[in-house]
Amino acid sequence: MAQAALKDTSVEEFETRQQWWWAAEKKRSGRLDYLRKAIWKKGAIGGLYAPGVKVDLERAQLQTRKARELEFSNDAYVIKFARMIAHILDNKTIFITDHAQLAGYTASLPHTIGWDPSCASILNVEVYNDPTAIPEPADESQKIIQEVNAYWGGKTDLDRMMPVFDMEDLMKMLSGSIGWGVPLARGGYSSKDYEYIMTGKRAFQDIIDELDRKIDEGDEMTHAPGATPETTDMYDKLNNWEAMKITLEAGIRIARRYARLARIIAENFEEDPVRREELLKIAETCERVPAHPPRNLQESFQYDIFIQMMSRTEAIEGAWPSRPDFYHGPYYDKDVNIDHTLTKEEALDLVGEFLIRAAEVCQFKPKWTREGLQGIDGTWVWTIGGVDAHGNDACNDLTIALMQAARLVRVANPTLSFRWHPKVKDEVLREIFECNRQGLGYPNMRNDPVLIANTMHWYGHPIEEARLWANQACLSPCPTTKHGYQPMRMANATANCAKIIEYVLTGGYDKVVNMQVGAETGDVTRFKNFEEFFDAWTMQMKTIFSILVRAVNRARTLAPRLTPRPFLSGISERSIESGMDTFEPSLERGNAWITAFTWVENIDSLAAVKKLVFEEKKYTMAQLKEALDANWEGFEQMRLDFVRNAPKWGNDDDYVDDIMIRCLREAAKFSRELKCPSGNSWPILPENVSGNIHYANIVGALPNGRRLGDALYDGGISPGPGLDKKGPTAVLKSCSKIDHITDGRAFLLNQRLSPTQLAGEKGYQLWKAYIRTWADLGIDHIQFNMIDDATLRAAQKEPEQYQEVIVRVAGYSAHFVDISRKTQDNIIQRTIHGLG
Amino acid sequence: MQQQALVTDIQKFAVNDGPGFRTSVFLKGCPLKCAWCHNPETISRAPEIYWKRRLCVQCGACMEACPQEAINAPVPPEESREPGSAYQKIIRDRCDGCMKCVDACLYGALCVAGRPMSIDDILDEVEQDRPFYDNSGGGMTVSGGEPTAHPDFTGRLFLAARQRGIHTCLDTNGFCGWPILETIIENVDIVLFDLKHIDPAAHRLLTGVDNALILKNLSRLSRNGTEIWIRIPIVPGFNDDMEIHLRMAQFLAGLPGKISRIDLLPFHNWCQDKYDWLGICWPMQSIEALEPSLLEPAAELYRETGFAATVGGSGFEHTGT
Repeated sequence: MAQAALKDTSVEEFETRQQWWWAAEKKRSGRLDYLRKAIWKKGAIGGLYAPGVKVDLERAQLQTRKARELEFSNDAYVIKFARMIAHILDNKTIFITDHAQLAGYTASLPHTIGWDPSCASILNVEVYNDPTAIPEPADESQKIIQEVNAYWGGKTDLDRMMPVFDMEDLMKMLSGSIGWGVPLARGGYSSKDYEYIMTGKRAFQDIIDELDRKIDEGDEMTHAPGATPETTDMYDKLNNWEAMKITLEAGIRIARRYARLARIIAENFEEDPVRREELLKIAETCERVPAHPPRNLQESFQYDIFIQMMSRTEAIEGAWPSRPDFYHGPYYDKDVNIDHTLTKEEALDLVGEFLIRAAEVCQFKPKWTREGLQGIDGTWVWTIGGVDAHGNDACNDLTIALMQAARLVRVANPTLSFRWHPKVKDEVLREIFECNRQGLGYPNMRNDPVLIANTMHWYGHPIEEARLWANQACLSPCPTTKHGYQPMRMANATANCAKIIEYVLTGGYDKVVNMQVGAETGDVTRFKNFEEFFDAWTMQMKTIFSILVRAVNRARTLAPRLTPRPFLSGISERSIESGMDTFEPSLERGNAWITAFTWVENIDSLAAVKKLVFEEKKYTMAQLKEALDANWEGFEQMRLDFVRNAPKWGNDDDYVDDIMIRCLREAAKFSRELKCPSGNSWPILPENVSGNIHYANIVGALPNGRRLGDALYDGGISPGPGLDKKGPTAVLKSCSKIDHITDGRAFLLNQRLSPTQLAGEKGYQLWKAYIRTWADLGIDHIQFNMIDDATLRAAQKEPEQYQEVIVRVAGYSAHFVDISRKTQDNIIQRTIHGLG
Repeated sequence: MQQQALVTDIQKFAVNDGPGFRTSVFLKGCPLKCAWCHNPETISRAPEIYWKRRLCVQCGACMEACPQEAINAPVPPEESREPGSAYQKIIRDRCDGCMKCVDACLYGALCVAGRPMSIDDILDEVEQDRPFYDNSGGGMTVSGGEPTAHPDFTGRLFLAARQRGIHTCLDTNGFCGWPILETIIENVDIVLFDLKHIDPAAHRLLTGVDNALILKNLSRLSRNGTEIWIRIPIVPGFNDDMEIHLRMAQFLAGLPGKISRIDLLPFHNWCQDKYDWLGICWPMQSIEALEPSLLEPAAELYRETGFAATVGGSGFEHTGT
């Protein structure tokens, strides 16, 4: 839009036209507008990074140099690793964005994306082969990458892990057919012990003092008369404590570098007296945190950013577990309501910038991950609302400010996830409604009472801790407590579940990757009844889940020694207390789950087989197999029969809904037999992110009428696109037949609602009644996509004019123009449920 | 006793047919012939066949299945899908409604409008959405067509609904004998009463019937103390004149009982596909849908007369009554 048009049109006019992005641009402060535009868009578009976004080679070089230097050191691995992290932090380029009040970025420059060469050689090869993301001049960069890769070949985490896995399992996983990702401890989603580190009681310096005491005591103990296994175990603990201390001290040092930089600019270059004061405030803030606990909102946000920056220097993080209103809220309250040091507008600027600082973070990820994430770097689903440890409403002024700021900055990542409970106040609900109505696609709604019970059921967390949960990734609630938080969740425990039903038909042979991946359940035509067919389904389900879980269990067991995380340990009470690495399974109750991509295809396929083959006997199994082998080519009329004349999930039809329940209960029963190294279960969590697109060319023809190449359903327990013919109430009713406490970990449900109908007070009343019913039905999750078709079609035609259109793509938001055409079509195809 | 009635649709999540989330049940058959009717499939009392030209691939399976030779030979699909194409699949005057063509169609291009349902069939489906009614003051709305055209069935349907504790609305054009209406409303919580025009001649011209009975029934209903929501479809060139609204407002103000609210429903032509599916050429097809905001002055007029009025009839609009 031309600047003139933007100037001449009022906020109200933009809002009437539902051009929320332009309305926001006019409404936000000059500072927020500048900061919003100053960040680079890092999420990959259709698997490719945007022009201008480059891999950060600085860190790779720093790390490689230090690794070479440490090669002949006698230190324990964990200490060498800590020194490497410290070296990166001490030497990386730092910057402060003009007009910013918060500082700290994962990579070295605003347009670069972090690259950790020590995680996986397969990732390093991708960097080398990604010509668009390699900085100019390319030949020089390629030389650097080559050297880095040559050094790390055989030394990365995955290289060192490979020999200790089962090779057959590993090959099946790496074929890309049944799983998504690799079993890497330093490449997943780390929840954190926020109760220890974020409650204002202590910060890095306090922990360092505590570590010094621990080291002194340990040292004394190991040299006192006596020799028990405890004595020699203490050697490892001393190393771990030392490593924690090294990273924490490095954290304080890099913060002070930021402080110095701010002061140098203020005292030597900045001419604007107002900005000079701001820079001095940044300096003061970075001198205070993370060494000491924050005293105000700015320090609190800055502290959080430093912790995230450190964590993302130590590992590749694919998620951002956070509960910002709960942990930063008291500082907001203090500054705005008690001390009056910030006006509401000033606070909103800080909150908006906090979202922007998170939005710019990016680390290089392999293409399959990027395809599965479409438009964002990771699933940064920040949890807000909910209750405190005693069950009281935890919403505060910052809960509201976060939602107001989200509407002003309109970033696709982070998104917000709201913990609904019966005590939520109307004023908070209205903010949620307004965000969704304005097409943000978030906050999504989580049913707190259900999820608290679920968390206790699967892992045995005490209720006070279960109430303190934040999403560990998209959907899995994890207590941010001493024994509750899970330091990593490996993305490879993500099952491409459509393969379960595919393998029933092929006897476990995968025709796409040409290998036997599933169980050998034999020739499908010999099954005499649906029960035999279903038994084979159960067998394939168990086989696929087991392959994935075995790998994670193995990696998790070895992680404390092979791939420790001294920084994450250093902000965890249980590691400080015990001297053991954060990955040590015996210290946690566990939060393992299997993400179930492409789950609902199983249900619709089983229903079609049951009805058309076994009950009506309209087709023989041999005919079905022949049609599927031919990818339905030449069998179009038969295919339509399977699409139209078999019941589909999501229509409040017990015939197929009962099959859903049966499949989930089989999986739930098996998840109790599967054990994680903490001794707990592996419940499943149906969701898709954008896996439905990634797997389109990997999943073969299915009995629900799907052909190889067709986009899969958009995920979780959402019905297939256009197949939910009875409208949104029937979808909710179908979903309510699932026991959202004991049938699995969480269940993603997308619903598209028409924004044009949601205007005004009646729109809110309608939405509120809908949400109340959703809660009564005991469904754990729902998220809304409120953009109308006309907007989406227009965005498809002229993407440059709709840069800010945000839509829901399973599990998170992405900018519509960023996602592939296939995903776009898929979204538009979804049945619109006009509310109003 | 009528055991079953033809139902053209049971629409869940209806939010403009009475308070809250409702399930609207559309019965087939109507004594009026309103020119703007947006449910043309509910006028006839007999089952009808839809032919959806956009979905038809012209495979010819229906022609082979038809024992009456009431199906036209296939033409290239591009031809039949062309805007303005005169091609029709069904030769309606030969068709005896055996529905063999519908069974033969795999593409969803031929379907039946009007399936027979019993009271229990209907209420079982209605009851599926009970949790939504409970949170919104919603329930079942019986619409059509004209529910009073099936007096016995509709009366027992409402009775059974009330016995199951479901809130009930009757959506009626008021064109029936008073004893029929009087019996039916015994188990109706709110009557959504369609008022199309105040002038008898104009009414006759575009609906085919006189409005004297309708106005009289409204008056009796009002005296009876039943909760009434007036619904006025606003049709361009028919009743969009402020003068007409003034007269209607005066009439309504003169009724013996209270009118809870007046909903002005803007004309739209989104039903044009349905006319085409029935093989009917609809003269109003090219009249654009009315912009709801254009109805605000009329709504204001009713408000000034002392009524609560909405445009669109949302079941979630608090009208302050």
